[in-house]
Amino acid sequence: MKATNRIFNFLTFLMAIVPAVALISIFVFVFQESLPLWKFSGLSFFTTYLWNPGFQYQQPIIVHGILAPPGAQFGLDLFLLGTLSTSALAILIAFPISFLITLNVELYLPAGIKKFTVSMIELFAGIPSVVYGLWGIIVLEPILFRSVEPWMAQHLSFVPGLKGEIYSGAGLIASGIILSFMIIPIVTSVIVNSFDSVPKEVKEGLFSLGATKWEVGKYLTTSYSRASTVGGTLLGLGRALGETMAVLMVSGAVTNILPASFYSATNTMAAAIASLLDSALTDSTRMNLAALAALGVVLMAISLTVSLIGRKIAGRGSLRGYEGD
Amino acid sequence: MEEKVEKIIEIKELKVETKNKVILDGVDLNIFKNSVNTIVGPSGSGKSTLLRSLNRLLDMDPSMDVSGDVIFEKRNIVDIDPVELRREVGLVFQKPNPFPMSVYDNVAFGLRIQGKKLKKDEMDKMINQALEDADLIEELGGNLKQGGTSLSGGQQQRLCIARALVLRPKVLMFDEPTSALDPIAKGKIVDLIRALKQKYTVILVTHDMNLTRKVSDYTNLIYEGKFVAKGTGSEFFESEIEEVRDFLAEAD
Repeated sequence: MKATNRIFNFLTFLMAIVPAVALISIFVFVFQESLPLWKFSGLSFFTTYLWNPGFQYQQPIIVHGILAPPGAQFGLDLFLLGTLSTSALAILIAFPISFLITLNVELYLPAGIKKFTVSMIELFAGIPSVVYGLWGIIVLEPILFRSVEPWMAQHLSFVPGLKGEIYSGAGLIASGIILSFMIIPIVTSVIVNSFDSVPKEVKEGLFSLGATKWEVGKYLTTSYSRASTVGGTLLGLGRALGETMAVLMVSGAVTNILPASFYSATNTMAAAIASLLDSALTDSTRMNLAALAALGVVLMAISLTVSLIGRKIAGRGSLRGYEGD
Repeated sequence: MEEKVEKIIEIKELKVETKNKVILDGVDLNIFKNSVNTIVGPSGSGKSTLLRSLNRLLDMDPSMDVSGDVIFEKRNIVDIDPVELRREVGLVFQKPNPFPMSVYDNVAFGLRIQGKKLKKDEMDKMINQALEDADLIEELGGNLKQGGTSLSGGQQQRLCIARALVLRPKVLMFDEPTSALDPIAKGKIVDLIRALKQKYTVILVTHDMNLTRKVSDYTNLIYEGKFVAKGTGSEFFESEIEEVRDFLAEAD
């Protein structure tokens, strides 16, 4: 009996530390794999947008004491820009939609329909990203290419970045839209939950002072649910930053050409890792692999930071200050 | 006596039901001006629902089906903009619910969302008056910047009363205003309700018979969605109606 108890204790301890150990070891492993890149490129990794795998079938050269294919050059700027801009666009689209869905669900819909609507929205989170990508290619891109983007270029050309040539529909706008679909369920469910946790007396109190539904929603979002709203949005942002497959399919997956406008093709760190990996594995110096690992390190650092901040803010009691505290 | 006093609200055949439950079963009631109109009854008898139908707060809950008429100052409330109605018919809740902001901002809240552009000193004056009417200004010692939620329970409740008063309502409804308060805080609310009826019409929902004895001018017993007794304060306690006797026996 005692022995089984000890085994059980040990197993639970093991299970408890596995997540932390796994997280740290993944980070360490990826970082270690990226070390040759840092020696090879140094800070120029952050200051250029050019990404050339080099001539992998020629004699490797030695740079800063490290073997690399001749002509190789690695800079993350284009991917970083793509990651940040697609995610920012996704948040710009997703937040107002999530907010309106929440208002509707919380203040307008009958309780029965509300439950149905919320569970439907949450189901969206379960759609595989490759399916979103496929939908993006088959449905979204043609619409953008034929109707939306030409209209925007014609009528909104006074907005910086919206003037320019239309390419194919694939690019920043398509990526932002697809990403926003993927994060709306996350953002919405966090905000809806926090609205639900606002005491009924507070909502009724607001209404009985003559507030309209819109004013109640606005007030709850900026006070009681502010922390959850910000936190939920950051959680969504964390998801958008790391999303790979769908973006790879609709971004245009460009390298070495900086976007000229919002209609241009783009690329993200996550998508670049996935799409460049195959050829990187054929590099006998492993320098291309190290470069992708370095992208992974930066991406991981960014999305972990965002997720941590989001979690921290979302978890913070948004009702603090209520009832004499 | 009823003939002399003016009716401010007439409730006619008011019925409130959900899909599977009748909450108010076609009730009639008159609310008299500058009086304390008390509605007593056991939990779940429909008291709070009645209050929430008078300022159309029930509209917020789509599962509630409301029929019948409520006439407020000769107008049917369905013809009054709910936002306007709720300012004229204020509601104070069982649990004090100040917003997490300063005392001043709490009271100013209703004024601000009205979108009226008030001058600073005009606003200050209205807020001070409301806090005075709610018997809170002295206790605060003029410090209106302190947080509304940091006050004691009784003070919070009076803050909520001030918040309703500042909108200059004609009717002030209280939903079990003392049940979450200690005896001293309760006593202050009793005094306050007595004072308020000089300027306002008060509708009080409670199951506290002590409170009812002290403040009520018209006491009405609701039981399973129907009024079983309507009357003045003293008549009520003498009533021979079986439900009243049962209720009083249980309440004491």
